[in-house]
Amino acid sequence: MKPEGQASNAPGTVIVRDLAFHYPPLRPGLAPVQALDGISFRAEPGQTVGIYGSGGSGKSTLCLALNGIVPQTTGGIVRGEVTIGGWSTRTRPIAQLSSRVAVVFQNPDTSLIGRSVEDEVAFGPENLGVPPAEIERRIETTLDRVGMGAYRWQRSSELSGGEKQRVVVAAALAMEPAVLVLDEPTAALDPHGTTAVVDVLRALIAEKRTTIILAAQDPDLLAALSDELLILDAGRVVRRGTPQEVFMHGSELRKIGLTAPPLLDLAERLNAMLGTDFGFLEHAVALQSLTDALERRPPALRDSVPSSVT
Amino acid sequence: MSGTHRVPIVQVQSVSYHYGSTGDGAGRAISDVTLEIGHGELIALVGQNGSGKSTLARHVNGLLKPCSGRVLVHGVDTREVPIHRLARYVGYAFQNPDDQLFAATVVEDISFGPRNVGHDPAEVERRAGMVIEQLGLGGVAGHHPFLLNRSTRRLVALAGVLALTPDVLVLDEPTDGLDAWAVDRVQAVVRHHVADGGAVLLISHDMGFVAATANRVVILRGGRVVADGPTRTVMTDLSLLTANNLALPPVTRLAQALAPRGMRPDVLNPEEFCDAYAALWRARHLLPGTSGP
Ligand SMILES: Nc1ncnc2c1ncn2[C@@H]1O[C@H](COP(=O)(O)OP(=O)(O)OP(=O)(O)O)[C@@H](O)[C@H]1O
Ligand SMILES: Nc1ncnc2c1ncn2[C@@H]1O[C@H](COP(=O)(O)OP(=O)(O)OP(=O)(O)O)[C@@H](O)[C@H]1O
Ligand SMILES: [Mg+2]
Ligand SMILES: [Mg+2]
Repeated sequence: MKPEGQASNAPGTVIVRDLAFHYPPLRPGLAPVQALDGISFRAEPGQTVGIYGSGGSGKSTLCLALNGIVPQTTGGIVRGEVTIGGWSTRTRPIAQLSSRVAVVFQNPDTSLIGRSVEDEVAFGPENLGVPPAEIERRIETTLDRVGMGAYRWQRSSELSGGEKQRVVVAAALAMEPAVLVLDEPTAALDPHGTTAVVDVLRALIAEKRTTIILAAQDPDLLAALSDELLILDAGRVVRRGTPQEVFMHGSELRKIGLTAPPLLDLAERLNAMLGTDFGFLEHAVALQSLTDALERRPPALRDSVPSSVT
Repeated sequence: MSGTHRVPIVQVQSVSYHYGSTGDGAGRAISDVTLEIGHGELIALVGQNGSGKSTLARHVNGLLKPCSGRVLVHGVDTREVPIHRLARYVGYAFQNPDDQLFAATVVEDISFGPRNVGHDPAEVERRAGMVIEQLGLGGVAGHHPFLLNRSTRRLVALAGVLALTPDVLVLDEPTDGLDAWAVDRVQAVVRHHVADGGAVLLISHDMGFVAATANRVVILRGGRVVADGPTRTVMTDLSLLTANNLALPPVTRLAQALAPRGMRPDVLNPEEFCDAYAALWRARHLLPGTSGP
C-alpha cells in the first residue's frame, strides 16, 4: 500500500496519478462537489508545468492538492494520489510538506499575517528552522527581486494589491522550496512586475532546478514558462502538450472560454483574412514573419516560423 | 433631467490623501489629483503598482475622504453625505472581491444593496434577477460565495454593484483572473452602462483590455495624474507609457515595429491591426495584373 518513498524520487519530483477530488457537500443532504477528475502528470526538478482553464475548472483546487490543504484542511473525497518526492500529500502533515512545497495563493491576503513586510518573508523560513543570518540574506534578496526592498518595514496590511502580491511571491521564494506552486501570481501586477516574476522564475529553474507548477489565466505568461501545459475543463485535463502545441488549437480553446496568446490570435485572424499560414506566439517571431510576408513576392504562404518561446 | 449632460457626475478637485498619521511626509498615496467623470465616459485608470489607483477609486465612492481638496458627486461634497446614500450614484467593485462579499448565498449578497437603499422586495428581486442573468450567474445563485472559485466571486461582487444601477461604476481590476468568456461579459456590461448614459472608471493592468475598451485613459504615477487623454493618444505613446513603467498593448507594439514597412502605428486592437496589415499585404501581393491566391 506504499508507493511512497520510491528511491528514485528527488525531493522536487511531483507525481499526480489519476487524481479525483470532491469537496464536501455545500449543505448537508446535497451531493459532494466534484472539482477534479482523473488528473495525471509528472514534473521533475527544473521543469515547469502550466495549468490553464476557465473559471471553476479546478486550477486552484489542484494547486492546493499539491501542498496537502486539499484534502487535509478542506475535507472531501480523494481518489488517486499526489506525491512530492515520494511524500503523499494526503497523509504527510502539511507542516512537513511545507519544507518541500511553497504555495503562492490566488488571494494574497490568505497568507499575509498583517505584520511588517520583513516578518512576512521571514515567517516561512523561521518555521523551517533556517538560521537568522541566512533568513536575513533571503529577506534582502527576495524583496529586492520583486522590487519591494524599500517596503521592508511597512505593515503588509498597508500595501496596495500589487505590492501585497509581490510580498507573497517573495515569501514563497524565501522558503527556497524544491517545489514552487503559483496560483495566478501576476494577476495584480503591473507589466514590469510581471516581467520581474518571469525573470525570477527562470533564474530559479536555471540556478536551483526548482520544480514549478503555475496556474494562470494569462496565456503569454504560461507560454513563456511552461515546458508542459495542461488545459483543464470541469476538472479534467482535456489537452496537454508544449504551449505551442496546445495554443495551436485556438477554436477548441475558445469553446471552453479560453484564448490563445494575443499574438497567436492575431495570426489566426490574419490567416482567415489573407489565406496566410502565420503561427507566432511571441513579438520577435511575429515581427519577422509579418515583415517577411510583406517583402517576399509572390507570397510564400508557408513561411511562418514555428515560434520558440524561451 | 435635460441639461445634465454637460455637468460632470463626479468632480475630483485637487485631492490629496495620506494613510494614517504619517508624520514623515513620505506616506502620500495621492497628491493634488483633479479629474472629472462625465456621462457616457469609459475611463481607464492605469499606473504601476502603488501609484494610487485604488486610493483614488475609494475617494470617488466616498469610502475615503480627502485630506485636502474635495470630491463632488452630482455637485455634493462626499464629506456631507453618508456613504450608503452615495452608493446609489457611485458603485465600487473592490480589487479583492473577498473584501466585499459577506452573505450566505450569492442571491442574498446581490440583493443586499438594493434592499439597503430602500427598494421594495419585488424590485429587489427584479434587480437581482437582472444582474444574475447579465453576468451568467444563474447556476450559482443559491451557493455560498466563499465556496465558489475566485473568478466567480469577482463576478458576484460586480453583480452586487450593478444591482444598485449607480450612475458611475468604479471597477478596481474587474477582469483580474477572469477567463476570456468572463472578460467579454464584463466588457459588454461596461459598454452597455456607458451607452445608457452612465460612466465607468475602470482600473486595469491589462493594456490590451484597456486599449480595446476605454475611450479615455488616465495615468497615475506616484499619486499624481501624469496623463489624461483619448485612448488612442495615450495608449499608442510608447515613451509616455514606458516612462510610467507601463507598456504598449501587444498589437500596438507590433504595429509600431512594422511602421517602417508602412504599417499604421496607432492601432489599438486586433481588428484594427488586421485591417491595416491586410491592406498593406494586399497592396503588395494583389496589385492589379498580378494573380493573388
Ligand atoms: N471550498 C469549496 N467547497 C465547495 N466547492 C468548492 C470549494 N472551492 C472551490 N469549489 C468548487 O470547485 C470547483 C473548482 O474550483 P477552483 O477554485 O479550483 O477553480 P479555478 O479553476 O481555480 O477557478 P478560478 O479561475 O476562478 O480561480 C468550482 O466548481 C468551485 O465552485
Ligand atoms: N491601508 C494603507 N495604509 C497605508 N498605506 C497604504 C494603504 N493602502 C495603500 N497604501 C499605500 O498607498 C500607495 C497607493 O496605494 P494604492 O492601493 O492606491 O495603489 P494602486 O495604484 O491601487 O496599486 P496596485 O496596482 O498595486 O493595486 C502605495 O504606496 C501603498 O503602499
Ligand atoms: Mg482559482
Ligand atoms: Mg489597487
